[in-house]
Amino acid sequence: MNGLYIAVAIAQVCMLGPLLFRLGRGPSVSDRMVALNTMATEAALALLFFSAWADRTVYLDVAVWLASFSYLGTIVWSRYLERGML
Amino acid sequence: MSGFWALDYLCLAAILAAAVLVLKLPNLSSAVVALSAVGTVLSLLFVVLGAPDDAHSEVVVGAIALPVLYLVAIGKARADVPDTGGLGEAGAPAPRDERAG
Repeated sequence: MNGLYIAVAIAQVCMLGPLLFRLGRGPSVSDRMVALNTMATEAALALLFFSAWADRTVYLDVAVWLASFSYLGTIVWSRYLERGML
Repeated sequence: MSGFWALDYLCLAAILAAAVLVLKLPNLSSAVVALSAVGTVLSLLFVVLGAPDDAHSEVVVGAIALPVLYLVAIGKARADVPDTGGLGEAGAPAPRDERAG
């Protein structure tokens, strides 16, 4: 069970590769923004499984902060893309 | 190689790829998006290396506050200087010429 946790965390981090490809190749800024939001979600999931593997609940706070603040960052990006400035 | 070091090297490779993207992307907004990706993956690496407090500050500052600060700076520069081309690619915000005039 302990090896399964770290395997899922490694799989989540491996999923950052295609998302980085989309972030580099995306034809519009909106595609890159969606790829970045998905990257933050994947990183938060990897943090959850890594904290379960390391058996430390302190790491869960970082996942909470990453999830909530990537959401706020995406809202700010959407406002910028809509209005042209903040 | 144990799972811990595999996770470590994968995070390092993702940070390197995102940093190369910051340098290589031609568009200014896309480079800022890649900079935010660097901050996100760097916070993940901080947690993997066992520093969750640094990961806290990296999430707030490196992944969110620094790109937003860059966006404010870019928006103010585009508002002050008359700019006609927008961001130069599809999906970019349209230039608001009636406001700048």
